[in-house]
Amino acid sequence: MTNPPRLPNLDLPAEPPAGKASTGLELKAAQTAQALTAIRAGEVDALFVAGAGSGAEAGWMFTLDGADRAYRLLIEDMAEGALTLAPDGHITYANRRFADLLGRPLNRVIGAPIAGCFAPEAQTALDALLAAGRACKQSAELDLLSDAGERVPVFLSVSPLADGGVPDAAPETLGLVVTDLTGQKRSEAETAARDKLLALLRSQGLTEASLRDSLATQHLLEACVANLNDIVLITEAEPFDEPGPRIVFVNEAFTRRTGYTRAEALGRTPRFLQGAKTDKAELARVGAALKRWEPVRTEIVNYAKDGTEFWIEMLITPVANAAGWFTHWVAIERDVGERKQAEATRRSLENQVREAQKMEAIGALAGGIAHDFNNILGAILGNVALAQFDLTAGHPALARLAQIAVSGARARSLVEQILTFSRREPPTLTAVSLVDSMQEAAAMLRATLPATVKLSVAISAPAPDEPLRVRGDATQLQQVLLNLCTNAWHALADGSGTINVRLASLRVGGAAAFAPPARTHLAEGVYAHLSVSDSGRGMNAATRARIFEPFFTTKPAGQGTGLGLSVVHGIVGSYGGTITVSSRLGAGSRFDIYIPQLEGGAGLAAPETTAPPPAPGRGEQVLYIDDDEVMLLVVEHLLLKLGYSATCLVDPRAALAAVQARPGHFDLVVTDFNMPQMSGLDLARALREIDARLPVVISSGYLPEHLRSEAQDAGVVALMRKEHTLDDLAAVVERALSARHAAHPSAPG
Amino acid sequence: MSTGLFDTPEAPAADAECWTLRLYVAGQSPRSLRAVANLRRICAEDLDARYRLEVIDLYQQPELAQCDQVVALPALIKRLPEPLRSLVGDMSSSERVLVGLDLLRRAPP
Repeated sequence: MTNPPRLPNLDLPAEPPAGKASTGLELKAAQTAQALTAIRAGEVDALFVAGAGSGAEAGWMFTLDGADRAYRLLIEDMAEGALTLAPDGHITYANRRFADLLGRPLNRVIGAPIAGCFAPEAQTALDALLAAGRACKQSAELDLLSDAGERVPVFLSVSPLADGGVPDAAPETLGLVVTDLTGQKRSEAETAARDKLLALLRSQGLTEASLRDSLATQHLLEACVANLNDIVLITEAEPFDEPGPRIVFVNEAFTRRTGYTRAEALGRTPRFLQGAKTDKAELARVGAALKRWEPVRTEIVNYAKDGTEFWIEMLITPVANAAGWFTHWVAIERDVGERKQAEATRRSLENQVREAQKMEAIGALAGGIAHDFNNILGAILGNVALAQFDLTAGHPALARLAQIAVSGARARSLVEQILTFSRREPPTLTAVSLVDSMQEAAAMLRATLPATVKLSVAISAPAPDEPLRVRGDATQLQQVLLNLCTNAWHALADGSGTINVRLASLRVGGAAAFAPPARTHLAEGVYAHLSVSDSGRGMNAATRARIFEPFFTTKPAGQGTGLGLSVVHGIVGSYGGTITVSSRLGAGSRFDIYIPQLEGGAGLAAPETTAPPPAPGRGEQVLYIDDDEVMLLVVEHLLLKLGYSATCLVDPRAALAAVQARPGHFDLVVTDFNMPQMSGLDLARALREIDARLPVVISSGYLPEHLRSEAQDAGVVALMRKEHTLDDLAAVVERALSARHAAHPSAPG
Repeated sequence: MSTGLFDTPEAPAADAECWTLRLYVAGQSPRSLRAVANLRRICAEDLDARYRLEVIDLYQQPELAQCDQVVALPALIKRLPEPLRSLVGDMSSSERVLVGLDLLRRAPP
């Protein structure tokens, strides 16, 4: 930016003394100084000199050079021609638009006479307009004459500038504004043509109103069709056979959804939208209906230009002309992809709910049966034990009885598995030897798997007799192996192949010689590492990603619950373990499970002792209640053998009466839980009312969580598994009695 | 942007104050247009909506000039808070405007 020209003979401070002005005079001086500084800096556009009067006399404005540039820009850019005219009729100023209307360079317009710009026949009207325009604003329609000899219809407006508040304009200077009327004239011509057409229609018996209505209706329909979200596609009526009817119209929704432009679609047959997944039988049904000229509704797959498939619901209707001939098919199509998706989701959810209900029903059934079996097994095992007591050593029947006891124990373990599977009871986590439980599970598998499946088991304990203990539940751990191996078996092509089971100890971190497979994040520590691999079909990535989802199955409907691997995942997770899977299509699958290993003997459950200590009882009075008379008999014998005095009753109400009749007589009550007259829990509560110091033990085939907490609230001192009665009774009774002695040393007995 | 507007002891109390400003312009002359734009920006950035601004075109309302003794345009007059201050120019320097209207202490030389 160049410096503004300096004003001579003025020596002013660079900045006016703002903030000092206090008197009127000082203020005026300061403002004058400011004004001069601003002028010198080129920041002023105008000076204003105030006058004493009002209105036009209120003051005068003097604009500085370049200040009217904004007005000039407006005029230069406006769509009308603008010019000023000297009194002698010469153009003193014209904008570019006016020059353009004339088709003449601007520099030959300014200075030219105005008369030469208009058509000869317009001259008289022009002269009259200019003469009248000197007095006040005038306007008229005239024809310009362009340099090319063409007439340009314009609207010419003339006004006197000197009276219009432009004080420095010479008197009698005229301002002209020229508006081009060519476009307007053209539309007038069109209107005339349309009027002619209407006259013709009227002669044909059609009214203008009906035509206008029909035009308006057509316009509305076009707008509707264009704005529909549904696809509208119109074809010719025929041919039905190849190549099919030609498309004559598609709307915007069609181009949006398919990606084909209108030009690409018109003239082709709609069949080009169909593809591999389009249901051929459905198309045949539609085709048959069309041949009968019947409207038809269908849902089929179409393909967009980029190859993506989409479901449409389509209604095809024939359209007839006035003579009753079918000329076209109109297809209204709606993208129902989202609905199809929702339907699929709903079906899948319904399946899941059905599966879950089925599992629940099976669980309830299994739980109920297991309960009855427990009672029966209790009687069998109890009587076996009693019979063993009764026989002298070396009796030949002892071996048979031992066989019965082993079989009974196996049956009992089976029942436990069923109960665990039906999830009626929370598993209790104890130190479990993986070596033992995996060997047992492998034995079960060998018996189950067909001969075509080779099961290879390699269990490498870190040291001989090292049981590789983990904190878990033996039945659940076996379930893990069984499920994985069953899955592997089902993955084998034709049901034949190899399943490898490996169990080893793995130390992670520190001076580890082994490392888990990549992408397995294990904290430092020692793990039991179980792997199951197969030579089966393997999985693709999509299947691999979902295998642990509940109810996800690749098996046909009804053949798999989709629960096997999710159960495995849940069990391993609840032990703080990790499970990984690696698989490729055609290359088999491999599952690796890492469960934190218990080191040393810590947490290892004491081995179960089946031999009760010799007669710990000293004649304490034990009251036993059970509705099962066989159990009653067994337990009575057992208690007597252990040195206690036993009172055994079938009916809990009789037990209540007995306690009431002889307060302080009984030292301990052991009761069955599930009895028709009264539950063991209710009995415990009632006994507590009578004698709060009398300890109660409940024996039950189930020990669900709610029973444990309710029993605790009722003051029950111990819970016992009914099927373990023979093994546990001695220890439970002894513990309960000694606790009572400790709490109430004065109690009799 | 930090102007230090309220750092100075002369700055009016932040709550009760409302600036009453009048900008005189000469039609749509370029500096007038610039002055309007600049002043609107300064007010929005530094006066935080606590101002009343009138723009007076002296072409259209010449009688309004008399009470403010305007001589050169564009010109800005601060009527409130007292004392009266005036500034001539296109208001392109925010600092000059703020100093000139007692809104900012003049920077030390």
